[in-house]
Amino acid sequence: MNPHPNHTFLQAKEDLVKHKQALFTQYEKPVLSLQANMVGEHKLSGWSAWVIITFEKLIQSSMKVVYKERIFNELGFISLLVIDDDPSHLKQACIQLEETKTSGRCIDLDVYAKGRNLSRYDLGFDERKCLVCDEMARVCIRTQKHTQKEVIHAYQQCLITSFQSKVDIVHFALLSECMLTPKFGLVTPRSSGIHQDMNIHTFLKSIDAILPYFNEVEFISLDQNTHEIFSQLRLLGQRMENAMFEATQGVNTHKGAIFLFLMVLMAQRMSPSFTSSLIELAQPLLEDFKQMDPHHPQSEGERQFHQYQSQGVRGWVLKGGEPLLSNTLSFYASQPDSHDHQVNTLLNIMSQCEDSTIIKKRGWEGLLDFQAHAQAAMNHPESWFDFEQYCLDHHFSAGGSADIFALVLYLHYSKERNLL
Amino acid sequence: MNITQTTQAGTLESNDILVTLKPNPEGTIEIHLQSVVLKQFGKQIKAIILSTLQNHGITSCLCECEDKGALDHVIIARVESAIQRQL
Repeated sequence: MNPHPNHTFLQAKEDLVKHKQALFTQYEKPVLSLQANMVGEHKLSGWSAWVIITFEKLIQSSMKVVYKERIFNELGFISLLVIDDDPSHLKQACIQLEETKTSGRCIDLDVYAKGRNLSRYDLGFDERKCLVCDEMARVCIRTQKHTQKEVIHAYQQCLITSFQSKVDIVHFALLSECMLTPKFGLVTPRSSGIHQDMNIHTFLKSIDAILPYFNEVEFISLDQNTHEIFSQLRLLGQRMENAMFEATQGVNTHKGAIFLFLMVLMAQRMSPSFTSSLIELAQPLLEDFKQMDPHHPQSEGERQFHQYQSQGVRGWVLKGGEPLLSNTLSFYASQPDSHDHQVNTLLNIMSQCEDSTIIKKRGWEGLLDFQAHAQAAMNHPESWFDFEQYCLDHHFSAGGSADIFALVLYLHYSKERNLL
Repeated sequence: MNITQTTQAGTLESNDILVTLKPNPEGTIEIHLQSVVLKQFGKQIKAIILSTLQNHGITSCLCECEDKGALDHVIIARVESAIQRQL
C-alpha cells in the first residue's frame, strides 16, 4: 500500500479531532473551530487569516471564551476556542454568523461536543450553499462543477466586498505579509526564519495592538500646514510603537510598517493620487538628515546615510516611494492573486529595494548580491528553497521589503474596493 | 483476507469520511453508508469503498462509513488506512 500523497494532510485532520476531543474532555465545554473554507493547496494566506481573525473578534466580543489556541499546519490556520455555552445554542449562534455576515460564507464555524461536530441539519438548518452558484456546496465540490480558479475568485471577491474601511484593508495587508510562506529569512507561520526572539504569534499580537490606532489618522485636521500634520503623525507613531513593544515584550515587529502606513494613509487623505502629497508630507524628514552628526550616528539609519549616502526608508518616502511602488503595483496587478504571485511580488520588491536591514548585515555589496539572488528567484518556485537557505546562511531578513509588500497589497485593494 | 478486529480511520470534519471496519460473522462484505450527499452520490461512493476493499483482498467485513462530503481520493485513502490499522 503506497502512502497517499496527501497523507500528512489526512493525518493532521485526525490529529485535530483528537486534540478537540482532549479539549472537550478537559473543559467539559464545546470546542469551536474556525477554519477558512478556501480551496487549493495553499491554505495559509492573508485571506484566510483575515476572515478567521475577524470572526474570532466577533465571537470574543459576544461569547465567553475560556480557552484560545491558534494552530498553523498542513490544514492551514485553525483557531480553536473553548466556549462556556450550551453546544446547540452555540451552534445556532454560529450559523447565524455564517448566514448574516458578508464574509460568513468564507468560514466554517464548527462546534465540537461529545465526539462529533454538531451538524446544521440536526438543528433544522439547510446545508451550506456554494460560493459560485446556489447549489448545495457539497454537490458542487463532488462534481467539481467549478474550476479552482473560479472558486478562488468568488472567495476573494466575497472577502473584498466585506472590507468596510481602509483599516480593514490595512489589517488584511499586514496579515497577508505575515502569512506569506516562504519568506526568505523572515518570520512565517511555519518558521521563525533567522529570528530567535519572535514567531508568528508575536506578529499577530503586534498587528492586534497597532491596528486600532490607524483609525486616528482620520481625526488629524487637514486645516494646518504639513509640518504640523507631520508632527501629529509622529506622535501617533510613537504611541503605536509603544503599544507594539508592549504587545511583543520589546521586539520590533512593525516599526517600519507603522511609519509607511501612517505616511501613506495621511497622504491619501490629503489627495487620492497620493504621491505628491506623500513627498510634501515627508519634507520634515529632510531636517533629520541635516541634524545628523556624521561622527556620531545615533542609529543604524544614520550610519548608513553617512557611509553609503543611502537615505533608507526616509529617502524612499521623500521620493514618494517611486519608482519601486508603481513598478510593483503594476507587477502585482498583472495577474490574479495567488500564493505564487504573492511570493513573486515580494521577490520583485526585494530585487529593487535598498533594504536597510540587508545593508546593516553585509553592506552595499551584500545588498547588490541579495538583490541579484532575489531577481533570479523570481518566477522560479523551484529555486525558492535555495534562496531561503541563502538568506538563512547570510542572516538576511528583508523586513523593509516585507513592509513595502504589505503596502502594495493595501494600495491595490483599497483601489479595487474604492475606499481611497 | 478477513477483517478480524475493529479499526477506524478518518474524521467527521467537512470533506472527510469516518470509516469503521468490523468483523462480519456472515463472511461477506457489507457496507453501511451515511452521507450528506447520499441521495445524489450514495451508489457511487459505495462502489468506491467496495472496490478499494476488494483491491486489498478483503473478502469479509462490516464497513460502516459516515461521509461528510469527502472526495474519491480521500475515501480511498481512509479505507486504506483502516485496512492498514488491522495489521
